[in-house]
Amino acid sequence: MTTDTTDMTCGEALLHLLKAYGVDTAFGIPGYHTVEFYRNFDKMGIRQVTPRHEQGSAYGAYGYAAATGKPGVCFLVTGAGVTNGTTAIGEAYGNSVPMLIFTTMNNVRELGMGGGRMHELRSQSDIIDQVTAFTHTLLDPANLPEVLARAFAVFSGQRPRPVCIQIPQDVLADPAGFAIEAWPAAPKPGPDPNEVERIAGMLATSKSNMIVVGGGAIPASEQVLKLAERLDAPVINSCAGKGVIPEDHPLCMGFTQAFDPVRDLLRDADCVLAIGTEFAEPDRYFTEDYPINGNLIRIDIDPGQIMHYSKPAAALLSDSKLAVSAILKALENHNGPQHDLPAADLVAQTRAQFSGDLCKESPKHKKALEIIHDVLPDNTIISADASQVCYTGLYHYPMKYPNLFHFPNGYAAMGFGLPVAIGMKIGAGDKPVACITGDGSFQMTCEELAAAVEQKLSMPIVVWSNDGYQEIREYMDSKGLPTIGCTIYNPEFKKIAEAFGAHGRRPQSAEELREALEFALQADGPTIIEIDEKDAWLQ
Amino acid sequence: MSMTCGEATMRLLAQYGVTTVFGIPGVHTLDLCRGLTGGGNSGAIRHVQARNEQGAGFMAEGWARATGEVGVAVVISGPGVTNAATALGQCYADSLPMLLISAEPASHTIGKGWGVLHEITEQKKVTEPLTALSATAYRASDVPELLAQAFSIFSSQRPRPVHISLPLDVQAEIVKGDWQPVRLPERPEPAAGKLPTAAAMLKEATRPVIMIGGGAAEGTGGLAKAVERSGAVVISSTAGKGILPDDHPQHLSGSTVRKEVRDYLATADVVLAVGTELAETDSFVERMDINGDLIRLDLDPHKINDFYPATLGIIGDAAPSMDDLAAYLADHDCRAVKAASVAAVARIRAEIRENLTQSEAKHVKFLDILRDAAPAETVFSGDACQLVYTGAFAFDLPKPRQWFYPAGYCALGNALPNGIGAKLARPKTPVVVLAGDGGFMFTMPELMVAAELGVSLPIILWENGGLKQIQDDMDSRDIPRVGVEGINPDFVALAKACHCEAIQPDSEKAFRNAFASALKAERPTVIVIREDAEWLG
Ligand SMILES: Cc1ncc(C[n+]2csc(CCOP(=O)(O)OP(=O)(O)O)c2C)c(N)n1
Ligand SMILES: Cc1ncc(C[n+]2csc(CCOP(=O)(O)OP(=O)(O)O)c2C)c(N)n1
Ligand SMILES: [Mg+2]
Repeated sequence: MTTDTTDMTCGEALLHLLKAYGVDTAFGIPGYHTVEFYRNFDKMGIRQVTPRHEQGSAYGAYGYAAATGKPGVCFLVTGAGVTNGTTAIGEAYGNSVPMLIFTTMNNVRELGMGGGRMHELRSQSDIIDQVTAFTHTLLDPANLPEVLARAFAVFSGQRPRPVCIQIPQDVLADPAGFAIEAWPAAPKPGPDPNEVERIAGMLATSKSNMIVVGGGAIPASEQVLKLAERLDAPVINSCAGKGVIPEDHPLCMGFTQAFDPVRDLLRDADCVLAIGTEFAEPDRYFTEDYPINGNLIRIDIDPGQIMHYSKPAAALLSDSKLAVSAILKALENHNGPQHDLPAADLVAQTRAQFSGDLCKESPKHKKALEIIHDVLPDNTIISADASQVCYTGLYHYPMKYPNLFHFPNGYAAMGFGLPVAIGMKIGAGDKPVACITGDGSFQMTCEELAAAVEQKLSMPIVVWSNDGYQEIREYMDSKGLPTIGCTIYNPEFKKIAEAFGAHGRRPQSAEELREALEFALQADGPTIIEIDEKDAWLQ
Repeated sequence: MSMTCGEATMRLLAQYGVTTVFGIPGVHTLDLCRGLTGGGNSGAIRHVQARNEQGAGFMAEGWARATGEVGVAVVISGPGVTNAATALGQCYADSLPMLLISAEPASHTIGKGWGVLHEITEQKKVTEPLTALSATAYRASDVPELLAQAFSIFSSQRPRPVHISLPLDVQAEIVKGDWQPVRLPERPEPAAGKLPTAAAMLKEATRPVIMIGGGAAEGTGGLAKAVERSGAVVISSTAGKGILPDDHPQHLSGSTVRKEVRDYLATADVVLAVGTELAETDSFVERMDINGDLIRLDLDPHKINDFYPATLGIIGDAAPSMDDLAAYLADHDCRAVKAASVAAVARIRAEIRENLTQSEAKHVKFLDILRDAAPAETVFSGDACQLVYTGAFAFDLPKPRQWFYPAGYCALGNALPNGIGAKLARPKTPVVVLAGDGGFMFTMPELMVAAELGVSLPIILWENGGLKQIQDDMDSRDIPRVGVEGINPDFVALAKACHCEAIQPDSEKAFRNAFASALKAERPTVIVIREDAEWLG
């Protein structure tokens, strides 16, 4: 069936085109400049979610993408809406999350004139360009199908990142004049067969292999496990790579690039195979770079990453699943592992040499995290904020499956937890979602509780309360500074919850925490569960 | 004495007169924190911690709005900067001096895409469109020079924000710590002969109008004389409210949004526009009808011949210019013109009051009570909501810098943090926040900052069931309402959970009592006014 677009505005036809690509949800706070996005919106069967700040709109889209693998869509008003959303878009850029951002601009004749128009700014593209794969200014509705196809090509065939399409107000209201049809998905790039053979040879003849996986390895998770078993090699995951192989698997070393015993192994291995990972500073938890003396083999969809960190001995510019599958195939013609100590023993021996604690208060965090981990089903999607309890969870909250633990690793913006969880729950439907955040991070975006209540999202929101910015307090202490601006006055979280029409709990024992989580998973709306670090049961 | 560049930067800021900075500390700003007051630190600058860097930016904005002096925010790289970006945009559009000092990842990592903490493609590019100057210090010795540029912009140009980024390695550089402020340039004065010509044109006029904007805020005395001596009708932008007392008999206040006023403007034979953009955001019409000769006096050369080209353009500072203009008008007999102006203003003000919509009538009823209840010196920090739109023409202020409104960039959520910044800048002055329910939510967490500081701050929250302006915009374009009628929290309970006083008054008397106590309370008070409350009629 073809949709007749003769009488449609660009804005209306855009909604039809988005539907053709499978878009079913849009986040946004309507404003004067974006009302034309909403003409006939009510008839489109697209779910509208209205956050309370555009940071919530963009984080909502982020969470939706994280939960569904589809690009999250948001509509932002020009100027203030865009600058309000930039932090969340920056986080998506840093963490390779697909997002499709639509924003308006003032009328074409007003652009760049400095006339003091509403929401005017000099160059919106310059700002948004810094946090997107590309930003397109639509000056003719007829170009929209091609531009949208290009956006989806980024999501499917490239390192996924946000794309922004900005549409001047008058163009948005112009007649559409284009056909409603999704263009075919761009193919994923596959590996160079000669290089695959060479890599298989290197891995097969090496005396010690180590595998490092990042978020880019998520599509290849089954194949990575096979490869690890075939090579009998330990797997170390970055934050985004949590669960690529189950973290409780005997070959999994976990999030450990910060710990010397693991760094020693990586330094001295014959081969380090890095799959879809950046070797980024946060994945070493801000320890120094470690050298890789053996052969570094990279698999990445982003050519920039292949040439980053250390000189590669071999590399595949490819989708990770295609690349790892090809290597597995090529290994069929090679001998088995060449080392004596079974990798599982090596992993166990190595793990025994460090606690995995990243913070002073990690032992307390662990007490709570163990219960949370125990109560939440294995398929729960976690939105973890830039708070210490979540840093502890990087090692101590083991994931069984990939792509379920989301943490603001790259851009590292606090305030991620709640609004991302909202987007996740919207996308996840019946699948469980939970938010873990700190008192400081929660207060960056807690207004979004209103959206969570409005959308009737049942999910636990665990707020770890320690009078403010514990992480910064520790850094200041360690640098011999007085702790300036780190201890903040907190609201009564339970009462905040109730004022929003959400549930509030303040567990005083392991049992009460367990009960609160169980309640929250089936409650008729969000539940704030405050854990105060000073509480007796954590001591 | 040797110290880190970060500490030296703060010390130099103190020498430029900075006493307070707003921010949220992070791993990336530790060396800057060395220069702050607190603990064993001997720095002379107070740090006020916001709950989101947007709040920090908006508090700095409020500081600038209340004082005309630079407001300063100190934030981490990446998300700290992007969170503060909206406040920069607002200060840019509303010509406010604001200084954003931020960290940036180590200089050798910039632009490499290594995924270092808080990395962004190019941080400077984000703020370039929102500032008069955005610069990265690549070595410690750049800092005093960049600050000299920043403060020179604040002292001599159309005030606009400046952003200076200090990469981690630069912050940590050890310097001698003997940095000194430079002597700052002054604003330019008009070229000889320009003001006499302007005075001559005003003397010839039979229906002169003087339009004033925020750029004239320093020119109160001269302006008042020029108004008396020219006999002109005065119309201000919202930023220009109170520069001439709004209740002056020749003054229509911030009212170009009213057709009654624009119709009068169309009949003016000479229009003198001082420090105003004549922007759409004040009139909400595509182009105002200005048929008379237009004199534009502005600090910004770009504002002489823009959408409204000037018959006579004058580049210069408003304050001395108004004094001089008043002097050139000293011998002018304007009695007849003035009498006509006074009569026209009285007539138009009455017409406006007759032509109010139903909800404007409620706003006016409330604003009249508020005007009566609030001391004359009160500063009102308004958000982009309908109550405040009405206040632009229906609320009189005796002095400039008493009515905040995010006219240009029009970002929701500025009112509360602007109010906090203003209160810290002028602790003895009553400050009142005016916000819509939608706008309030944008920066609601900053309520905790007001509670933490223990400031008396009445926060008037106008509850009308969501984003009413956008409901109206959708209705008027035949678009079914989508996403504009969201639920609200129980604001009273919310305020109490944030350790504030809170009340939803059910009568005028209850409001007056609540407001009087709020002005004295040692913490903020949220006063919820429902547009459908019976006592508003
Ligand atoms: C937007 C933003 N501002 C500042 C920072 C710097 N920062 C990193 S962690 C942190 C403290 C987080 O506080 P909280 O969520 O309470 O966790 P805690 O450290 O107390 O466990 C701060 C201020 C940041 N990461 N993001
Ligand atoms: C950051 C930002 N997002 C969106 C808008 C668009 N906008 C302008 S007015 C408005 C409604 C504001 O609602 P409220 O504060 O309740 O005031 P009301 O219109 O109901 O008086 C919106 C959403 C904006 N100005 N700024
Ligand atoms: Mg904390």
